[in-house]
Amino acid sequence: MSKKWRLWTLLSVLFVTSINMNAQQFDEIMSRGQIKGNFQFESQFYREDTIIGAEEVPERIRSNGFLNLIYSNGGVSAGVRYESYLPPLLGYPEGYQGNGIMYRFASYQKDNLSITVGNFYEQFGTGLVFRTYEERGLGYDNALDGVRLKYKVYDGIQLTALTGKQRIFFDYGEGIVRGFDADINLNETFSDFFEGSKTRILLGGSAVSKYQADRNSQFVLPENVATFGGRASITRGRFNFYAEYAYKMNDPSADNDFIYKPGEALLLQGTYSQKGLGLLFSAKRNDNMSFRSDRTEGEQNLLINYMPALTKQHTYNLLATLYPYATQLNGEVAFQADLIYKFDKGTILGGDRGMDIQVNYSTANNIDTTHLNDEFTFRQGYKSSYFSVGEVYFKDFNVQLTKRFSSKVKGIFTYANLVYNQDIIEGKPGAPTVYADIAIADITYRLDMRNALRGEFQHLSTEQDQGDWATLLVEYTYAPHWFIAIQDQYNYGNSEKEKQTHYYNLSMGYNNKGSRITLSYGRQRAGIFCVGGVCRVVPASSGLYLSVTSSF
Amino acid sequence: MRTKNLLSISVLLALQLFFLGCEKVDDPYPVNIGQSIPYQGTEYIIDTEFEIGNTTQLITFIDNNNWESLTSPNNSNQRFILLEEFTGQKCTFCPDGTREIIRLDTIFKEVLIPVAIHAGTFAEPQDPSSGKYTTDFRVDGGHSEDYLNQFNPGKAFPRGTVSRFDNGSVSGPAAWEGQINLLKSESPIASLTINNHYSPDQNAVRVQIDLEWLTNSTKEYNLQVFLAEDHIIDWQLDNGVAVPNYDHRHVLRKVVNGTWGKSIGQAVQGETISIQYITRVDADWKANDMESIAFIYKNDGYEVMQANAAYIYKP
Repeated sequence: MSKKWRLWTLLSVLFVTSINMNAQQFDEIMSRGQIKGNFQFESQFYREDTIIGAEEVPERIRSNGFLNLIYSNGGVSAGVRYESYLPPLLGYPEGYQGNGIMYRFASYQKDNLSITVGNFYEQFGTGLVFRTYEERGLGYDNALDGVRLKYKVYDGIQLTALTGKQRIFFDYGEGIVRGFDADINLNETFSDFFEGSKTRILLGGSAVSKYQADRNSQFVLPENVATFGGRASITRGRFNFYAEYAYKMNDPSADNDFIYKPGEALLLQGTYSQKGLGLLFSAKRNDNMSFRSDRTEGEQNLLINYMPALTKQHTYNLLATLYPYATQLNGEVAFQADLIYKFDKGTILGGDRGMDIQVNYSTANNIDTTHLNDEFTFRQGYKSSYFSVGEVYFKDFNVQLTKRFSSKVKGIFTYANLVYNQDIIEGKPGAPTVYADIAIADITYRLDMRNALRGEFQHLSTEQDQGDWATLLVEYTYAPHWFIAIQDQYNYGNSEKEKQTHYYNLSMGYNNKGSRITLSYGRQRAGIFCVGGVCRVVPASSGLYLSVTSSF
Repeated sequence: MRTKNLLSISVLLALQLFFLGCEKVDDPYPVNIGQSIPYQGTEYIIDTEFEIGNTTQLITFIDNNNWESLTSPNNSNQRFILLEEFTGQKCTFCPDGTREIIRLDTIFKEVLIPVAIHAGTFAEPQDPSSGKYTTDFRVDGGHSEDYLNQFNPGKAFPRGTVSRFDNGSVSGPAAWEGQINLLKSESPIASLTINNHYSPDQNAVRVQIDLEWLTNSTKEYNLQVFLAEDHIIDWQLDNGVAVPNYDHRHVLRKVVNGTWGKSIGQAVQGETISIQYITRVDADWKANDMESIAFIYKNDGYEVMQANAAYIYKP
């Protein structure tokens, strides 16, 4: 479909909605319409920097940009997103090349029925069975292009049916995805029975299948692969318990080396919350649950489902980008415990202004597998036990204290201890497991209502990989519009003297009414950028970076 | 819940059934009957009548049947000799050849592997009304006649080739012992082992052949596999006398892998070849008198360089 044709399709949809009315009615209706949107443009001028391994970029300048426009009027809405990658910033999937509209939709809602045609994002439960979403920072976009129906059939019961093809860069995957989901809120559906009850129960069930033709001469491949899921959420008072299970039929693919073993995933989560205290425990086990609409694809392409990460999403640079955890779709057993507690004012630890503490512990291990040696027969690959775990992939114990010392001084202090299996997470065979301690102090000093200084002092200590790192950041903010920051990351503990490098960066920005301009110059070290356990590798780069974002 | 809503749910669920689909694949490998199947270092070559077309079916077939196993002698230090005797039930002097083979067998024992190829006019069965020589001992597939035409023993039966020596030249019984002695004194170029696995239920035999080259050679070699049956009691003309209960020895029953066998390439010292033929044993044959015979021969000149034999079943 050409780009022009796509635009005409959108205009036609808008036209059809107005074709049966006179001009006055049309004006009246259009006056009720609303347009929302957001825009982002990022561009970097790259320079070769042999010290950090930043290679020469032939184009010198690379840029990403997009504009979202969504028009809504009553029950009708339509939108487009124009995207531009000329070419994409380093680290983005290279499949993004050129300009175009790969996201456009029109939807209509009347009474209990909602219909969407075109591109849409959807999620069943936590995504074990189905999740399409966009994460721009990762270059991740697996939107469906097709048709979606949502229908509230009764109080508390909503059904969703959808079908479509998934986006892959500026194209669509080969497979066709079909899905169905039912959400039942028992308290609403059986309101008489639950009247006055403190217990709230939500149930859900999903089924998703994909079709991809079998053109493989080596194996007999299932052309239709289905995944089924069920979930329950029970809330009573301050407690919530959530459970979700998914089962996938045989799905031989490049991810699992074309074995025919079914996949399954189980997610359990319990939370407790009251004023000043929050507790969360979660556990997950997924086994052979990579589910893509093209069985030959890899990386983050054409994933139909999503395995939630049970690790904390860190924000401080050394913690977030040196050793972040990437969810292992082929098999993982993960646990997480999270405690948030607020020490009240007047207590010993709370002092005059109180103090927040967050303690988090997460682990991820391989599932415990036994090889079946059936490569030439049934190709089940392995069997695995629910009640034991395999090698350690990742551990993260971290504590964060947030303390306001005075009306002017606030500190956030973080300590983390990481165990990071490079071999598995980064696919570096033979690379040693990294054991790292990280300490961070983040101090903000507010000079007055408009002026504030913030300093970040980060230190990472490890005997493996690149050794010790230190980061210093100083940021000055002139509220509400301006900020300027200088940062240096120093890999002073690298065992190779010539790699004991400074990664300096100077940045400044301007914010105003939903718009922001950022300009920075400096070095970006090679690392991994993850959001929710989904990661991309970022190569080293050096140069001038410009970002403009705006929303309306 | 209103009827209308129930109807809506039903329609959506029906739609969903339409949308969804899934297929469970029990057998990952395409079925390709008649093709060889590599599995765990062995090439399996299976008669098409078993309808085994992939590894899964092969393993299922093996696992689901009971197999009696017998092994051939070790010939890694000895060149074994194949004696292919052309014979026929109406060949009056052929029993002299058989008697010579029996005598040689007592001398050379396992080193000598005789096989009686019934071929030519002497092997043509008579009309059933004649009451004798009615059994057709010629092997199915016309292979007997192929060998007859190739090695050309004429009509002066009994004649045979000793390991197809001298371009497969044939000779009378008087020459066989000398030729055997000549050839058996040469070092073997390969060791060739047969492991027979027989299933009485299936009337099937898995002839496992493991070969290791003991020397290098740029000659091209073929592997040939036969099934032969010993002690078939039937009519035989013996020096002018029609004998109704003659003991026919080592009768070629089946050419398992084609008239000229399977190409196995050149000899590379130390390299091994592992091939298993799965073939049917006719229900009329006495399994406990059946033996498999395997040999390798030079493409250029037919000389059999190593051979071996093993019974397939000893209940």
